[in-house]
Amino acid sequence: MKRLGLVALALGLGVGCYPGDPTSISEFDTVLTVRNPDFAFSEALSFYMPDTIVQINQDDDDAIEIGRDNDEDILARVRSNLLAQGWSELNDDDIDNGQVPDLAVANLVMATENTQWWVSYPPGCWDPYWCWGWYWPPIYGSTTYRAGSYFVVAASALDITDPGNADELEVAWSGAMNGVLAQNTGSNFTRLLDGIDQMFEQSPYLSGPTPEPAN
Amino acid sequence: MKKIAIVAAAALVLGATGEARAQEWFWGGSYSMSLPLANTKDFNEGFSFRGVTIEGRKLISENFSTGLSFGWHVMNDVRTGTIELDNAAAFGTWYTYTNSFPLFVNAHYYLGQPGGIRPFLGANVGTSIYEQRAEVGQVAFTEDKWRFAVAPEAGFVIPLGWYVRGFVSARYHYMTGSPTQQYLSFNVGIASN
Repeated sequence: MKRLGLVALALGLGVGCYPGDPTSISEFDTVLTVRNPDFAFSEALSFYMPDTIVQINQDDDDAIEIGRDNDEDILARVRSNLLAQGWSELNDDDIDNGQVPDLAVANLVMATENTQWWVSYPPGCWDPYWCWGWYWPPIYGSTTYRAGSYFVVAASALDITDPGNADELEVAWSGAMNGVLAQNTGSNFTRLLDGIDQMFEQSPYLSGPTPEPAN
Repeated sequence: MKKIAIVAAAALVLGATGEARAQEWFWGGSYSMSLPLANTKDFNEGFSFRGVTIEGRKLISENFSTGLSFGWHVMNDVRTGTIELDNAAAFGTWYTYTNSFPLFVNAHYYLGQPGGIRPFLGANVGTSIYEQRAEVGQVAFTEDKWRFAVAPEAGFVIPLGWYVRGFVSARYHYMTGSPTQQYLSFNVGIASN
């Protein structure tokens, strides 16, 4: 039986519950898109997109300040994807002249710093005071990571009754990219652009209903 | 008279030993590999080399045993892609893990002759603690379920020494529930009494 126990132990080594953890920070990236099933996407929608990316958690305790150097490129990537759907953009002059777009597109960002504290004991010690007959203090530590989310929200602008004041708008489509922020801001920027492309790639209905195949 | 007593004692001892051998327990451990099938394959595809099985079998006769079996079989997969939901879609790198802990009572029938290589057929019946976990981004979804499980089995016992047997077998694991789960496990191990 003793031999058998050793064999079982040997066989048990190497068995893990959750093998194959992520090896790259980009593997934490996720892109989620949600559509309003009641909104009819047609082939020729017009949109208006303010030239600002709004940080929506600026006043929160865990908020971190984000760089603004790449805002223009990020908005350009969103714009090019919207135009690729066959949509047309209204500019500030069009709005000032009283034109109403089908959709208002907002770009929002959220960036946080999260710290998680942990406590650990030497192997076999569950009690922090007595361990193998000795006092052995627990080991404390912390892990900090930064996470960011980017949102593109398209809402029906036809519901705007009082421009400049808050209105409850019907959201037609929204895309969100979430990921862990790296120290390398260049990597964050590239991953965000890829994420924006992915939002539109997984939303083919934005360019209107798929034509029925010809018989 | 003395000779008769010695012969009688020897006969008793040999008889008792023979009885003991027919009733003895064999305990063994095996390295288990898994091949997911059907719904299990949809969740995590690919052959897994992570698993272990511990079991005990009691010989009721030369050709028949009953016993117990406990296993820990791990399957995992990594996929990058989009999952379509109702009016939503999610893209990411999905890490999926299955941990199956089958706990069986079983019966086996052995062909061939004692001392030689013996093919066997078996039936395992019991339960399985079945955990599925999917991780994407910074989110994880886990589902644990107890499932009724059966596992027909076929294999060979190979004599390696006086007390030691090697064995190889294949089990088809079927677990009830919605959806059902299925996989094959291939076991290579040794047993001793």
